[in-house]
Amino acid sequence: MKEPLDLGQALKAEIERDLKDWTFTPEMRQNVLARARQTPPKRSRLPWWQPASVAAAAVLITLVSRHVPFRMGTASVPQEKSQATDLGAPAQSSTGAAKAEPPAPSEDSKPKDSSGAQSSEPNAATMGLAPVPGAGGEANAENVTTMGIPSLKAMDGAGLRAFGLVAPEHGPKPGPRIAPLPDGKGVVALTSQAATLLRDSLEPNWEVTLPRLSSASQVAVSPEGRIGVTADTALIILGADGTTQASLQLPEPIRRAIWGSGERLLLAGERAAYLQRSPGAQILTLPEPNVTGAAFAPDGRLALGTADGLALYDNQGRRLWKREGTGPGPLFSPDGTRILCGNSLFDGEGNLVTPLPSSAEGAIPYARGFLAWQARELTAYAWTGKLLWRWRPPYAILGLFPGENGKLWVLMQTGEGGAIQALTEGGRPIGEPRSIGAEPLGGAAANGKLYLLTDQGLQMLDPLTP
Amino acid sequence: MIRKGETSMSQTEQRLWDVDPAVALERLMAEYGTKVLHLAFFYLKDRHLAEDVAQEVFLKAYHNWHSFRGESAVYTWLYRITVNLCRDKARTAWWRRLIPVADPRGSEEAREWEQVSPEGTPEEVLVASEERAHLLRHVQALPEHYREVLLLYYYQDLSTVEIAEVLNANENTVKTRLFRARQLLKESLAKGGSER
Repeated sequence: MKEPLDLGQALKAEIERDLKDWTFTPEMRQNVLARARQTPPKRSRLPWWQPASVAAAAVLITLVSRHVPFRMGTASVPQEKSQATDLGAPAQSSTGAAKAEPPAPSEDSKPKDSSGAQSSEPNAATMGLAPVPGAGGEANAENVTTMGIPSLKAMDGAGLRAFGLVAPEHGPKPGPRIAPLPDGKGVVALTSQAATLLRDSLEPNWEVTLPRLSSASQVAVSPEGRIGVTADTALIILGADGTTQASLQLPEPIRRAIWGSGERLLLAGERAAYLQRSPGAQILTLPEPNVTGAAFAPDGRLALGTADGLALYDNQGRRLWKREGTGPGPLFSPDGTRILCGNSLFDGEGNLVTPLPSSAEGAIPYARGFLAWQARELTAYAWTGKLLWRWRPPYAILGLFPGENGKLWVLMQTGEGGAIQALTEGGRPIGEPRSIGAEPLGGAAANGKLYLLTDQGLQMLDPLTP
Repeated sequence: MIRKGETSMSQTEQRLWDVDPAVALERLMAEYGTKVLHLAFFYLKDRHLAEDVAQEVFLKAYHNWHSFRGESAVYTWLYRITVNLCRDKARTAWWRRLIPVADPRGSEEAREWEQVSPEGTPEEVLVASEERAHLLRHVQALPEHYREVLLLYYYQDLSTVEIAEVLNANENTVKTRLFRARQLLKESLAKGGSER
């Protein structure tokens, strides 16, 4: 029970005297309501990274979509040695009805486009798969053109990098919803209101308007600039100009899409992983359920992190070895001789080089090695496993972005939204954390700037500018 | 309507949020708008900024109402958003240039100061002081962590448990700060009176 105090009464009296004419006015209320109407409240109690929330996202598909007919690939894999299985089956629908191991079609059995003509596209991706609802663009297109970008500044040159954020607690790692174009002159983002291909970063310039596809969940960009958007069991592939090139469909929902050098494409589902070694090639089924992460080495080898370990595949889709252990990654060293997975560092033969002292929630490459982080700790290691430095943040770490000249940007979760802290290459804070005033959903770094996808829209920040 | 003292959002109120969040938001602003505005002012010491922040508070509440678990009173949740937004605002470099340097009594000086407090309760000192009319000025001069507990306790009528929740602090910490805040205020009032 609070005792009655003159102090309290006096304070109240004084405040009311001083501020009695200063209230939350109807104009303020109207302003709040007007802004609130622009963005409906979230109705789901699920965290944003969970599928049901993500399903509300709109998808990126070009308005000027032209459906390029597909041609079944004929690349073959020595089946007696491969542990991968062939998924050459034409999917009949998006419900996952494709059967495993169908006969591979012959080279001359080119599928026909909707007009019945044989495709003359030499390099069209082929899965013989069903068209994706909404991907055609003609009938279902609901043009989306608006998106708030508070402050865009000039960007020059390449060097865009993007990372999905690590889900708090133990939720599944969310797929990236923002990705840079490899020419460094644009980003692709999925938001709850629209999907946007931001082609020219100098100006907010919407070159493409996009139809909606309600189940879009993530974007990926290939080294050659092809844009992949996952939507349930489908991957819709757009060219760098935003036109639809192909759609691939799997027998199960796609959890992750990752491109590597040579346009190698990995799609991860719950039951298995699916590898396409080049555009148009057959898709191989790799018997790795519950893939949590994947990485391509420069020579084409593929590391798959799963719920129970790390598996390495050669560039033909044959499994070389598998080791126990879980955690973030995998991550290849630049020369491909080291693989980080969880708190273990392996060599190319699967030998443990060194265990790391603590289990990280995420890891990215770094100028002097790699960075591993937990919610309240960021640690830098050399690729030998030597600890370089450690930094303890004031808030929980959500993501990490390499900036220019070895600088780092740490995205953190404050009580009400995100904040950015810049660090030197040696792990020393530069300035103080800066609030972004919104809930972060993903980000991409480019030439000294950060693009952040937030619940308030796409933001561009210059973390080092006071 | 949610009343202070209720421990959670009523089912009726929850349904209103589900059915028509805009109406629920209006009711929330009507009920707590001015309180939130004044609380922001005590942190930021700038009416324009306080107005911006207060609107931001309700916008955030609107967009994140689903995350309100109903385990505490709505006003506690709103005040917590307010405090966090104000702190974020105060942390930014550009904002630091706008506000005066923190009161030096917030550091070592304050601790020394507390040891030489005058006789009597703060209320007795208050009554005796000619500074009564300037009480708010003395409160505003207190370091932030003392000022906030005083205002939340005396002006916003929160209990120490609720203040702990708003500030994300331990209740004992809140009690200690409240005690020290009273002492500091008492000292400030006495000093201010004697200087006249």
